[in-house]
Amino acid sequence: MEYITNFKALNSKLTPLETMITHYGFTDGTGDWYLVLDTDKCNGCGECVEVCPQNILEVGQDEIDIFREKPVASIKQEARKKIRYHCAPCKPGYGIELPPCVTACKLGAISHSEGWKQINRCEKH
Amino acid sequence: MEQKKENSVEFWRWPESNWVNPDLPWKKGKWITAGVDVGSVSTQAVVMVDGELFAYGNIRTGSDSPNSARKGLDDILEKADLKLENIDYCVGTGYGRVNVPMAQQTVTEISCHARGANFMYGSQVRTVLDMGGQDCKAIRIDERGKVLNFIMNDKCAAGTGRGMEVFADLMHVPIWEIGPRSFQITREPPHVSTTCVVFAKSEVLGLLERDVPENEIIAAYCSAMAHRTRDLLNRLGIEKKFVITGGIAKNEGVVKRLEKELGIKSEEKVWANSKYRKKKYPFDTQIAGAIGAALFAYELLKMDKIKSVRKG
Repeated sequence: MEYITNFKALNSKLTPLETMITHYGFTDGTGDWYLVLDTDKCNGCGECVEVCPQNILEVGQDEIDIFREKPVASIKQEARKKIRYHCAPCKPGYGIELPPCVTACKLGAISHSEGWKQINRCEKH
Repeated sequence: MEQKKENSVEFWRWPESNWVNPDLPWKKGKWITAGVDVGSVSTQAVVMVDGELFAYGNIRTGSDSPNSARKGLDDILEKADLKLENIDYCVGTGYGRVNVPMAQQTVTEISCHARGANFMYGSQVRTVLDMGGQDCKAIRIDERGKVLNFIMNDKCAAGTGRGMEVFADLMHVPIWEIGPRSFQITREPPHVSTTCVVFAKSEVLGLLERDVPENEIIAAYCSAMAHRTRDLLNRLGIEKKFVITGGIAKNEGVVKRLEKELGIKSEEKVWANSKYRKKKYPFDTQIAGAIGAALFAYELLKMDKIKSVRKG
């Protein structure tokens, strides 16, 4: 997943987003701490919910796109502001191993920001 | 105590507003919907007749969210000669959306701001930056106002409306003068190292002690705020057309500096709807969330009606 950082090259290069992405987490002085969900890929199977040792994921009605009928994974409301600490135990050595949620998602819908160093299933394969 | 309170000037106090569309007879409308956006700092209520803007109000949120929601809506209902019973469907949104007593449904503020910005600025809008009272949201949307990607920073009040209010109070400058005064400088000052609202006071005092001119401190704070917001947009990516909503959008000092940092202009604050533009309807950047909520109410109502007709 690439983010546009060069704003001068922006107007020419950027293509419209094709999938719906949600960022849960926050930016603070130490970096970006986000769990990124591609909700177009997500089919609401709930595999990630089962494997998350911190129990911060849930599957339910899409609260951003209220007209979506398919259930979707999201982060529990109370965990959103503490995501850095919730996700840290799954990242020994800052992301040498894939965390369980990323491995469990067969559709490659889950990734993390660079705070813990970005791990993206799509890039690995 | 009472006396003292009256004498002290509240520099942070931004003006409240409300407006009723004089050209729209609501009685002829089929469906009347309302959207109430209860934020941490301000509360907006919007009434729409068949998806057309009919009335809006913008007030400060008190300590009691349900009361603010009620007051916000009641104010405009009274002005527009409407009654609560006339409203067919109401959607609540914002930080205090669970505390809107008259709402039949709640929708997250992210969806509502996206939808509202689409209505206000037009379907070509792709990136929305909402600088709210206590959070900052960057949203990428498609031509229908559907959210494609979002980031919300609600963990830190730096770079938000509340931060600006505290700063205005510290500097003893009325909040609407911050923007113009930040340009009355001879040179662009260096960045303030911290934008933390709590530490702002010591930072400002330090600068004042070093005889830095007041306007330069204001400029420094504005550019620090712009810088912080840029980081958020940096992560999301930005695409034309780019718009800013929320209270800070009214502060030229922040907006101009942010545009400079991004190298991209934000859209002019005018209605995309040519009819609205021609008739010079007032444009308030703070009502985007409430407009979105009212539009969702209209859509949900239509869906409900269709369903009930099918069932019947």
